[in-house]
Amino acid sequence: MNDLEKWLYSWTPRRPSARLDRRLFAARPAPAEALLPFRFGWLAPTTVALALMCVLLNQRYGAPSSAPTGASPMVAMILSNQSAAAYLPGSFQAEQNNLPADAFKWTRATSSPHPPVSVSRPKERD
Amino acid sequence: MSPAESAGWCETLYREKASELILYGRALGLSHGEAEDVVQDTFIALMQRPRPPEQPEHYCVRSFRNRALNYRRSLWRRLTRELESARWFERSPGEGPAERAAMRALAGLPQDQREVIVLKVWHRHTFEEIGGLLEISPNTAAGRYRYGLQKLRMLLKGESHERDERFGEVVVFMDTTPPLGEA
Repeated sequence: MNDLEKWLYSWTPRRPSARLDRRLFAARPAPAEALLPFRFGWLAPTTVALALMCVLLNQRYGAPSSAPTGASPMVAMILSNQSAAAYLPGSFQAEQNNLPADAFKWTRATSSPHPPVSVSRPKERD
Repeated sequence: MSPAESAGWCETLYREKASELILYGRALGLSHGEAEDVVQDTFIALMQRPRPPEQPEHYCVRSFRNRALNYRRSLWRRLTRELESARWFERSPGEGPAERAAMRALAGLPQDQREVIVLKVWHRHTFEEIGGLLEISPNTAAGRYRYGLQKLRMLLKGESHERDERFGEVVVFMDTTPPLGEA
């Protein structure tokens, strides 16, 4: 090896980045004791956050109310539109506005009381 | 062989060869980041082998070369390569203008010459091994090496001459370099 070659050899090739090292060898399975703090590290704050969310949601939507569920939006609608008062739950006109269930009973029957009428005219032969 | 054992010898090989492989990737025209990607692919393939190859270092260089030549370079990669640091070597405390000029000159050599120089000087391959790897005769490999070093020396002489004119310095060893012998 001559001087020039020795001089070249004295240069240290650029090292690979730490990122490459991690990509190649950091994926190996770590010992269990090293994984435990990671596994349970996120569990406690997540549980607390979930519990807090449940409490807050229950306070907002679970408050005791005299009206049945879903009545509040209907009352607001009726106050703005008086013609819809008949649909208010407990309205005295409920019987008049609601058709009895057996009015359409025949539609659920397998056979119709009247045979179906064809709307197309029968084709006449020459 | 278990995955842990496989990762063991691969990691040892990686520690020994990664820098040289990246330098070889630079000689083949890749950027540092691209060379790292190819090193990663090479070692992932090595780790999937059931047992180590007979000559791990040579196998590794051959595998790296094949992958580097097949590495598809997009426009974005070419742009990032241009923007990336051009350094092939670590900075040393005593690095002067002559070193920097020589590093630039090495990077500026034709690919087939700098490839042989890198394999000979930093990978410590013989011309027979280089010929086997590149599928050329050992004499051709030796010729490329000799011609590359000669060109490097001439480039450095030109650089030192320019520097001499500017600063009045003399880089002595450039003139005292003896002619190269065979491997």
